[in-house]
Amino acid sequence: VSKRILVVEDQEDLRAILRDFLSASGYTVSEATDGAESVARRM
Amino acid sequence: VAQAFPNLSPAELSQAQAVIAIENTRLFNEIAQKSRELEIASQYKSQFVANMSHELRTPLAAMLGYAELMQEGIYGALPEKSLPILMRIRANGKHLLGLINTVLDISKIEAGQFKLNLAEYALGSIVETVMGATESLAATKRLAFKAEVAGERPYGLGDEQRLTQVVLNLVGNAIKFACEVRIAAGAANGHFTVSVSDTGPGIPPEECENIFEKFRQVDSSNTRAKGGTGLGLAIAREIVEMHGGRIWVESTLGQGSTFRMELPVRASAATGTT
Repeated sequence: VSKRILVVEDQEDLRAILRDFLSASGYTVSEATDGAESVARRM
Repeated sequence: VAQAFPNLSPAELSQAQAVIAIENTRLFNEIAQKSRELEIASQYKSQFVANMSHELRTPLAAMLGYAELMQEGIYGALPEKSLPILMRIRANGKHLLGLINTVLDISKIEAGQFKLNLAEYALGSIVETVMGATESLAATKRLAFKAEVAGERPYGLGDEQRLTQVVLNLVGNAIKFACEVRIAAGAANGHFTVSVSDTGPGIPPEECENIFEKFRQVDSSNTRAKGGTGLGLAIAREIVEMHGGRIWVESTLGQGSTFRMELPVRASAATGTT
């Protein structure tokens, strides 16, 4: 099972770059654009 | 007034003088008001440039990020010929980012928003970082490049990133103009000293102070050939002076230049913000 990382970044491109890099490095990535969404994603 | 108008009576003279005095005061106030307005306008402009530079960095960071991932093959294998092109895209992007950062720094200085982040640092690690960042450039130009860090060195208090920027700027300039570059760093009498010597064309004595002013370069016809914004040394002087130090150049035409800086080992909190 791969480790999970939650990326919280409001700028779409920077979020995509982090997501692509981390998933290419073998992590399962969840994304959120702000604090509230990141709390929701953690549930 | 009396000599200019000999036919005026004393009463008429003093009246004329009063009128002139009132008019002078009015003009003086007008000039003071205009210069306040100009100062405010100039601050708005600096603020605008600072905001704008920040906005320019975001899309550029995205372009550089995608290019790097692409080069690493994260989006699949690429034709071999495209790899050096991606490297050129990244090199040009990084160059542009450097220019934007320079404009951002100078506009922050002008808007009075330039702040230091004071923390403990080691002088040696600044020299190491600069060597690491410039080694490959020095190697491409096949120039002799040496660094010496002498003696016992206490930990300094200052803005390591900004001080690295200063030394990097001096070394970058030296590499542009010379075939031999030497960095020397040490500590004495509560001060750190750093010098960057080169065997370049040298700087005429009358230009040695001017080059630390904004937009000033020794030979502006060189700008196209050698690049540079003419802002690097102005920013360097601001950073060094905010640390309570000083920076200057000693040069002999035809032999080379030595840029020296002297910093209090521990910058006082009054000169910077923690």
